[in-house]
Amino acid sequence: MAIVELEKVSYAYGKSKAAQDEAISDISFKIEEGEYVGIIGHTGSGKSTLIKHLNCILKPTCGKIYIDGVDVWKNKATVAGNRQNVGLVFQYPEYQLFEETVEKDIAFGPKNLGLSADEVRFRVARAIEMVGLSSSLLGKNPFELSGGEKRRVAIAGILAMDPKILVLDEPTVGLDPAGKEKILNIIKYYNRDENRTVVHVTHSMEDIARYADKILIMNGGKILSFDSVEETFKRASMLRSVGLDVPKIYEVFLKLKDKGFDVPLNVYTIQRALEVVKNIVERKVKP
Amino acid sequence: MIRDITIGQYVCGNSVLHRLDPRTKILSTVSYIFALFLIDSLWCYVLNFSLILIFYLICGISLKMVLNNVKPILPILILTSIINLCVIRDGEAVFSFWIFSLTDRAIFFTLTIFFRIILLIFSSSLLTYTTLPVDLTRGIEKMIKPLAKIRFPVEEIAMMISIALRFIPTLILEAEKIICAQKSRGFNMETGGFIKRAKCMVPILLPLFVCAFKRADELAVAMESRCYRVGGQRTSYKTLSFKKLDIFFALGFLAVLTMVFMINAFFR
Amino acid sequence: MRPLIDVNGLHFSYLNENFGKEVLNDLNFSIQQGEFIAIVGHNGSGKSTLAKLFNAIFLPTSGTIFVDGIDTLNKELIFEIRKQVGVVFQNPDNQIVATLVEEDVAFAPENLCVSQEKIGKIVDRALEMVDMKKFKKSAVHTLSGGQKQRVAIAGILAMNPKCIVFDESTSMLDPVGRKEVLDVMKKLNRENKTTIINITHHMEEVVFANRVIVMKDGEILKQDTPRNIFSDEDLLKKSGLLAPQVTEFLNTLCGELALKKRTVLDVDECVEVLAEILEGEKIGDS
Repeated sequence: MAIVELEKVSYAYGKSKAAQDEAISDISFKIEEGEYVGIIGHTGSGKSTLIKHLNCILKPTCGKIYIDGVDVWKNKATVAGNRQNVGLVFQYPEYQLFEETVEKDIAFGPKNLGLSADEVRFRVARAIEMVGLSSSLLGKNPFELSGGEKRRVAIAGILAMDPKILVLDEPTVGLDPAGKEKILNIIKYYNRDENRTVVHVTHSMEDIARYADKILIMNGGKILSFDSVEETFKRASMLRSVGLDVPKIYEVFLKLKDKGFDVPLNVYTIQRALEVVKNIVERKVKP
Repeated sequence: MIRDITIGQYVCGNSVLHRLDPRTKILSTVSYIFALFLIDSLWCYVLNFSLILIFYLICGISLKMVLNNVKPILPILILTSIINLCVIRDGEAVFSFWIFSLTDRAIFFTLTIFFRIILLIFSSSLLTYTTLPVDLTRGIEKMIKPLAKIRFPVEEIAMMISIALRFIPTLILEAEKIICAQKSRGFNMETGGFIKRAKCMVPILLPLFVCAFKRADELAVAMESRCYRVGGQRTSYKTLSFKKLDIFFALGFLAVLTMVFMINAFFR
Repeated sequence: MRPLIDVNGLHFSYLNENFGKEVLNDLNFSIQQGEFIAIVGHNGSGKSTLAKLFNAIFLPTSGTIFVDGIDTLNKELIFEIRKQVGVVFQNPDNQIVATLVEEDVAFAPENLCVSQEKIGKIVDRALEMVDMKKFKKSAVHTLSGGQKQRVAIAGILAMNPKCIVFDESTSMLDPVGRKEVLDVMKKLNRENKTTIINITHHMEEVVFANRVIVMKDGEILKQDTPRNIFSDEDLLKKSGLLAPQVTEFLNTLCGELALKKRTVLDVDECVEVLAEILEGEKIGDS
C-alpha cells in the first residue's frame, strides 16, 4: 500500500490576485513507504503549495489525499493524526524557533502530541543526536547558535515528532557547503537507517541526484514527470525545455556522446562517473 | 486568511480618485471622518454610506476587498452591538421579551456606532487603496512641514510611516509562514479560554518579533550604506502639486459635506 | 597604480557580543580597480563582517582600510566612501526601502541631495543597466527574488560606485534569479569596469572571478586564481569548501588513474580533458 496517495488534487488560492500565489491542478501520484522522493520545479511551479497539502496546512479545493491509507480530510481526528504522521520542515525553519532553550524548542512538537515527560525527553535526546549536535547544546539559547546549527535544531524539532513521512522545503538554502552536506546527511540517515519516507523539495538537481529514488517535476502547477532518477535524466531535453538544469556531470557525458564517444548517459553523480570512466579505461588497456 | 487583509495596500488604477493630490485625499478623508462623528441622524449615515459606495464605484475597487478588512473586527462589533442593545434602557420600548427589552434609543445608538466603525474602515481603506504609500507619506510630510519650525522631526516621521507601509505585506506573509510552521509542529491555536489562547500566541509572536527586529537591523544597515543619515538634508525624487482636479474635487466634496450637515440639522 | 581598496593589518572584534573574540585577524590585501574578486569561506569566517568594513558601516578595531585613498576612519568623508563602495545584501526584502521600484532606486541620490531632474535621469539609467526599466512603476513586493535583487543593485548603481560588494546576494534566490544577478555582475564588470567583490557559497560563481580570497576563522588562508584554488585539495578540505562538481570529479579521477593533475572549471573544459583521456587510451590501444 502506498504511504502517500494524491487523487486528482487541485488547489486555488482564494480570490487573491497576488503574483506569488501558486496553484496546483489535477495532481495524482503515489509514494511507497521508505522512498526518497525529490520534488523539483521553478519558483511558482506549485511545489510549495503541493507539500503544504501533505500535512493538512492547505485543504484541496477538490480531490482526495490519503496518507498511510487514511483519507486525511475525513474529520478532525484524521487531520490531527496526519500532522503526527507527516513532519513538514519549512524553508528557513530556524525562524520558527521561540523557546529559551534548545531542549524546550525541540520538545515543543512532541509535547503537542501529548506524550509523557519521559518520552519527550527521550525523543529530544534522540533527535539532537540524529542531527549531529552535541547534547551539551540542549541548555543553550537557540538564538546564540550559528545559522547552520539553528537550522539543525529546527529540523530536530520535527524529527522529535517521529514522523513517518518527512517533508522538507529547500532545507539547504543559504548554507555553506559544509552545512549543506550535514543537512543532506541527516535526511539520508532518516531515509536509509530509520527507513522513513522522505519528500525533499529543492532547486538543486545535484543534491537530488545523489540520494533520491524518484524525482517529481512540477511545472505550471502540474506534474511534468514522476519517475526514477535514471528515467528522469534520460529525458534531459524535457528538463531543459522547462528551464531546469541537469547535473553538470550529466552534461559532460552528454557532450562526450555528441563528440562520438561511446559513453553511457545514466551518469549523474561523481561516484557513477568515476566508475564509468575507469571501466572504459580498463577495458581499453586489458585486451 | 491573513493575506486577504488589505489595509495599507495600494490598488493600481487611474480613476479620478487615483489622480488626486494625496493632500486633497487626506484632508477629505479626515473631514469625512470628523463628519461621521459629528452627525447623529440615521439618514445622514445612509447618505454618507452611499457617498462612499459611489467612490468605490468610481475607482473600480471591489467591495469584497474592504469587506475582508471589516471581517476581523466583525465579532467585536457584533458583540458590542448586542451589549448596547441589552444595556441601554432609556427611550421607548419597541419590543420586549421576558426580561429583555429593546428601546428605540438603543437601536438608534447601536446603529450609529455600527455605521461609524464600518464607514471609518471604508473611508480610510479607500484612501490607501487609491494613494501610493510614497505619495501618502509625501502628503503627510508636506502637511506637517510647518511643525519642523518647532523642531518636530517631520522627515523622520514621514520616513517611518513609509517604511511601516512598505513592510506590511512582507510581515503579513511572514506571519502566515510562521503559523503554518508551528501548525505542522502540532500547535493548535483555536482551543482553550482567553488566557490559554493568549499564551498560545507566543510561538507565533516571538518568532515574528525576532524576524521583524532582524529585518529592522538589516534595513538600517542597508539604508546607511546608501548614505542615509537621520536628520540629514535630503532632496525629493518627486514633488506634489495641486491641480485643477483637486480644486474641483475639494469644492464638490465640501458642498456634499455641508449638505449632509444641513440635513442632519433638519432631521434630528 | 593606487589600489581601489587597500587593507593593512586589519583587526576587528565586536564590542558587545563575543567580547574579546577576534572576528577578523590581521588581514592584508588590496584590490585594484576593475577586478572581479570572490571571497569564500565557511559561515562565520568573517566574510560578511568584511563587507561592512569596506564601506565604513563597521570601523577597524586596529589597522586601516583605504578606499580610493580615503581612510574609512575619516568620518567627514564617510559619504564619499559609501558612494564608492556599494553593498548589495543577502535578503532582498530587507534592503529595499520604498514601495515602488523607481522610488527605491532614487533613495541614495535623494540622500546625496541630487537635484530633482538629475535624479530622474539617474534612476532611468540605473534601471536600464539591470534591465528592469519596464518595472519602474511596479510595487516591489510583486517582483520575484531575482528582480528584487536587481532593483537593489540599481539602487546602488544610482550612487555611481567604483566597486560593488555582493554579500551573499544570490544565496536566497532560485537558480533563475541567481543567474540574473550573476549576469548583471559580469556585465557591470565588463562594460563599466566596476570592481566586483562577490562574497558567496556557490562555487559555480567563483569560477568567474579573477582572484579568489579564501577565509577561515577570520584569517585569509590563500588568495589565488580559481584554478589554483580548486586544484589545492588540502586547502579545500581545510576551509570546508567543495569544488564545483566537474572540478571535483576530474581531480578525483586524475588521482585514481594516477594521471597528471588537471583542474577544470566548467563543463566544456571537463569534456575536453575527458576526451583527451579517453582518446589517449584509444591510441594506446591500437
